[in-house]
Amino acid sequence: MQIVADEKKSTSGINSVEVFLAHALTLEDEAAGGYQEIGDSMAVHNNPEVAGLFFQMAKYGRMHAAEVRELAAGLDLPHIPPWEFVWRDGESPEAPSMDKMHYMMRPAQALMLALRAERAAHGFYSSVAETTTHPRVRELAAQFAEEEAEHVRLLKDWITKYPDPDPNWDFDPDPPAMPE
Amino acid sequence: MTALPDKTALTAASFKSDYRPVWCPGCGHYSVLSSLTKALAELGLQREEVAVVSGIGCSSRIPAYTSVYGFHSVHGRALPVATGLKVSRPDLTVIVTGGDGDGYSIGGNHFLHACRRNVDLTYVVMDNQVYGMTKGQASPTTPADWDKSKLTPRGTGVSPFHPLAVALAAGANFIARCYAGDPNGTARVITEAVRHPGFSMVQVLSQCVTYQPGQKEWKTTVRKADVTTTSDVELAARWLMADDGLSTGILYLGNRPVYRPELRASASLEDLETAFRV
Amino acid sequence: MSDQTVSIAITGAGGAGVMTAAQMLLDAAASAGLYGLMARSSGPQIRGGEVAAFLRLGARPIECVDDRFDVMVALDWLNVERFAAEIVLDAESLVLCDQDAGEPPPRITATGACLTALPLQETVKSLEGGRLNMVGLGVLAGLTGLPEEIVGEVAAKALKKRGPAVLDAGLAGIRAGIGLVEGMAGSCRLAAGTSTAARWNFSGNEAAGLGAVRGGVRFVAAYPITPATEILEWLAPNLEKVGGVLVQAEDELASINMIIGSSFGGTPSLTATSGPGLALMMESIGLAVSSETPIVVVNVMRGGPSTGIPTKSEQSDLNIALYGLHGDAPHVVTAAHSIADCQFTTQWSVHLAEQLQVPVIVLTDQSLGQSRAVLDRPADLAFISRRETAAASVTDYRRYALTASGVSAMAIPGTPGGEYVADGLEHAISGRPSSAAEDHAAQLDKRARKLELFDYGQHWANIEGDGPLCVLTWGSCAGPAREACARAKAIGIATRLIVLRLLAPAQEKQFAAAIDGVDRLLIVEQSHSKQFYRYLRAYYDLPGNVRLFSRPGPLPIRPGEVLEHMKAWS
Repeated sequence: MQIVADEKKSTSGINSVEVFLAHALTLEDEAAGGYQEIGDSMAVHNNPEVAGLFFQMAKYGRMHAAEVRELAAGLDLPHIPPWEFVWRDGESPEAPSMDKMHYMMRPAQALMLALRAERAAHGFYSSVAETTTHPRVRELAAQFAEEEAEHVRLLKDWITKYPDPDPNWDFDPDPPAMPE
Repeated sequence: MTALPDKTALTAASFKSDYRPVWCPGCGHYSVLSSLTKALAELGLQREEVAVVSGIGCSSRIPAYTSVYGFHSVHGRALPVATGLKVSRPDLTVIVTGGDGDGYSIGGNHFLHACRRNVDLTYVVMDNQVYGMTKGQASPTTPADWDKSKLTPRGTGVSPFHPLAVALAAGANFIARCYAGDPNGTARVITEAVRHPGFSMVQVLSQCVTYQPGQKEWKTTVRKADVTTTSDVELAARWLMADDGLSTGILYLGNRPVYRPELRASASLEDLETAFRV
Repeated sequence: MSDQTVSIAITGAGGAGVMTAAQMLLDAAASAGLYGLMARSSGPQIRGGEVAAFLRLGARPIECVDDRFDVMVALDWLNVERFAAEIVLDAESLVLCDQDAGEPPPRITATGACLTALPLQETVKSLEGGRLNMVGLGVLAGLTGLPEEIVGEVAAKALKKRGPAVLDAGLAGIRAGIGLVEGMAGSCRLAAGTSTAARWNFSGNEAAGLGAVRGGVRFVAAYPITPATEILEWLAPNLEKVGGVLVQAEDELASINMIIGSSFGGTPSLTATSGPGLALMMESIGLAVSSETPIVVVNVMRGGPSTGIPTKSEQSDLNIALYGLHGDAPHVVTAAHSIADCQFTTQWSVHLAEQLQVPVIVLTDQSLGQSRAVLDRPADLAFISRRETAAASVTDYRRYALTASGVSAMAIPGTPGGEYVADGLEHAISGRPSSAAEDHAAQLDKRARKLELFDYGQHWANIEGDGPLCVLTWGSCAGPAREACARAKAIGIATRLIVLRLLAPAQEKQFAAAIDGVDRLLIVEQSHSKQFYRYLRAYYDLPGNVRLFSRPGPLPIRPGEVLEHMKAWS
């Protein structure tokens, strides 16, 4: 019999490079996968502009994942079941929330959601850098946190290039369809 | 990639097909798909030894979005299809997916008997309290005063039932409730559900962004159950009936015998004729 | 071999044990080298109801009831009016009854049958532990000339487990019964049995079960329904013996879907039902068509529509079997025409289902399913299921690829590289759902083509004899039709008999060849709305002269009736 665990985990448990990289890799992979999935969903729902933005985010995510893989080369990363990662809210911080998506969302809104994800990722890496006892982990975490901070800056800048959505952005005159 | 459970194991991504889901952006089922694929990876299964069986509805589209064997059958009939498959092929891992309409309304009878029969299946019901595919009618788990459907414009006037309490009474061997807003937690529960022998019932509160936008609230109202998993049916029954349907966790672990007929020949075809001979 | 048969009716109620006696009589006839056919009728009570057993015994295989009964043994007269229409008696018939059972019903005496009252109850009372049905059995043994030792052996086998007292009483009853009819007219004497052929004593339902297992079926889902339940009862233990399994389902919707799931997993699968159950299964039979999942559904027809007459036979499920699926859903429909043919046709149907990846509906009926026969052991058959499957580690697998034959390899779960999702939705060759016109056209053509191009061989119909007059029929009407043709031949009327076994897809070329040279076509069927006739008109070119003899259930069609139609047209 299991007591359902308290999900507010602490990052102070990450004191090995392998464990840290396992977290970082999963974070980047799930971010890339998440953005790709949302991009696909937007494309399927005929919102190509927003789809394109998410595909771009997915591409960056894959690049970062590749970087982490390179760092992990030669190391034996542990297997960590998805629910045992020390994410603060039980979910990988950089994974964009699909549940906040809307098929008619505007680019500025999409980028705001991506921004929130990048901030959460930054928060995770900073927290690890602060709490870890392992110097190399601290080094890597700080480095990744700085990269995320850079993404945050870029996103903020990117957002300014798009107008605010107008108040009726989600008005769709057509009723829902019945496909099956 | 993160190290896998063992050398031959596949990643969660390997369990997804390249068929892009047509679920509305904002749908909870994306998260359940993710949880399901993570669970399959965690279990170290190979693609060819898994089958996902579904009925009809938005959540029943899941088999096509996985890269394992699948059967997208007809409305309400996923459980018997899965039962026939598992009983004759006990070597396969068989997962059944569907929604609250498909599973509790037209599929209600099969639901009762699948729990009762206790074949080793895992049933993941994505409950969004509505028939999403057919333009938003009330389902057996919709509140009685919900008046947003054209079929029941003044609300159904019929109270929803407690599917988990019904599952318990009917004999399900594992009962859990999850929330699509917690994909890793759901992945853990699905993993445990598959590992646990017999009929495992996993209800996932999975919001319908189109017809039940109010389900956004679940983010704040759904909480972890404040009880430990029990194997005491009476305790579980009382707790389930008292719960408001928003507590998550593995609520009941049973140990009933699993229905798994042995498929072993002990006679030849010729032997079967003996009784007819004059 | 003598053609003579004896038709016997035994009636009684309330625990008299009519069926037990009838079964023993049939078994005794079998032991004596004879052949037989046995059926029953009963009231709606579960216990204690009025029962009539009907037997026809003779020295040659028997496939249908006769036009009349030679003898009726009435253990009592309780509620026997129920059976009056079925127990056809005339001035040559013997009716033996109990002198203490009261007046025979007017319907019986009105037939002019030769009534003899026997001291049945008195005899029973005079024996220690005497039972009425054993005395009745003795009476019939005496009348038919079945040797007492043989009857005694059969009784011993059946009564052994009830202890020596019951056995002795039974044997005494038989002897006493024989004594009661000593010296009576020999009109019911059976010619000696000379059969040395291997013979079986079985029912149509049991035969269907055996056919299924021999065809390779190893998974059955079962929901009880009269008159199909015995197929499932036979399969439950026997399937297990050969490594298969039967699962009792919660309803027919579960049964049909369970066998689809099991078949998807690679196991030849079957269920059995009757009209009301078949109606419930229609949606998912369509799913099997669309997903190209092989299954067999044996439908034992009974009186319809709706709940109808569950314990009686009729041929009125032809329409639903042929046309009951929504959409354009080509599938196979076969029909057994005799008790032994229940085995053949079921086995063949499993083979067809597996070969063509399609549902096959096998039509039998209550009169075949629930009648027992002593017949020559059916020949061993060569078909075995052969499903075309994808090889291990297939690459670039397309489940519904457009092949010339229309049959595409099916990947069985467990096969790496073969992962696909079977679907009721229309699909592309990969199996992915598609609403595109070209995919729908391609898949519709594929599913139709695979049935149309297949060579069903000579089993599509039985064609016997020759003559300008042709009797065309199907199912259990074949028995009386065949006997009518034999009688017709004996009086100089040459007939060709065609019995269809494959109803869908229609075999136009073969049918045209079969009726070539025929100038008069007599169609025989057991439905009210002429379902068979309308089916023939829809799919085949019929010659100019066509007559129809059709009648719904519940009464059996008798050879004499068919013969009358033939004579009227000769």
